[in-house]
Amino acid sequence: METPLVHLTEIELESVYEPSEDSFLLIDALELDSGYFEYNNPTLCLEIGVGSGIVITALAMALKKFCYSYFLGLDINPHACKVTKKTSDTNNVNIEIIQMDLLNNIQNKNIFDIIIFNPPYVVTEALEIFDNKLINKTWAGGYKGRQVMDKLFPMIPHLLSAKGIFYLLVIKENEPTNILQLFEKFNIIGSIIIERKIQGEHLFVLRFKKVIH
Amino acid sequence: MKLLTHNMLTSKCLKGVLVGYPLKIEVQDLRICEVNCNLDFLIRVIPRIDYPVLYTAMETLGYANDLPSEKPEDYQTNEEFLKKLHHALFEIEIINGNLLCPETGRKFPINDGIPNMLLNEDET
Repeated sequence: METPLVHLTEIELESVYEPSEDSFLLIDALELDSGYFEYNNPTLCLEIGVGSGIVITALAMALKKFCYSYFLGLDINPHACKVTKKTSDTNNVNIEIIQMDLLNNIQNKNIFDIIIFNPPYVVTEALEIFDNKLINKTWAGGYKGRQVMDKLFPMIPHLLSAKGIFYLLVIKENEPTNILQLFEKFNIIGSIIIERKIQGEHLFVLRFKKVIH
Repeated sequence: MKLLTHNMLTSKCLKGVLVGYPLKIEVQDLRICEVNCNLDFLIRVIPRIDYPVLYTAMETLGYANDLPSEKPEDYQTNEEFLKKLHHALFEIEIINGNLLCPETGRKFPINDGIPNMLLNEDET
């Protein structure tokens, strides 16, 4: 997959997450599945917490080569929303953007073929996730780094289409195996599809699909 | 914001709101932008949209004549309809305006094409 051009100004960097190893690992994970996308033509795609917009833009650029799709990006941070708009424009793709907290305002309908989430995963004090500083919301994950993602997980089964795929970036401290077990209760099976050790972090991308009966 | 996006949004997270769908639309600025039409893609989109909600949105914007009030039965092969649907879903962009909760009237502003759905803590 081509890496999108992303430009963040000094001011934007104060509150918007700069593309880092975790963003690139997610793009690499999506690239692993590009053959599947070419065969399956994802129709509606969603990213929760877009930040600079690099991941959803990379996906849009890749899918554009063989199919038409719709892309929706969400972020709680107004600056991230604006930057994502800029990133998508710079790279000639169309992404719809909504300023929203997690999935608060999305209808519970099983319509998304791809859902991507790079959550705030860093282990912090429980109360740190309530800090109003926007940049903290990009990384502070509370207890085990799980507090924000755990809130969102139960909504995934209601949004994913029958053949939909959910991509989740986590670190070792988030206990990936435990997350996989948790999703089994929703009738969703997952596995680790790629991992990378970088300085101070062991990153994983988990991929989930619904169990079709 | 395109009307396909409006089709997915709800205000049910507001305290006391039961359904919160569909959101009402108030338009200040609207733009029509030409987007390439792909019929296969449209056919894949149709089962995922709430058609009456899309039609009502078109009515609100003053484009009721641009879309039939009901989805024709032969929609998969009706090219004329698919082109109209493409226009409604992807070519109309609301640049500035408001979305309104149908139950409480709470306004969610749309600025520069981006709706702001954030709530204050005391609203959830």
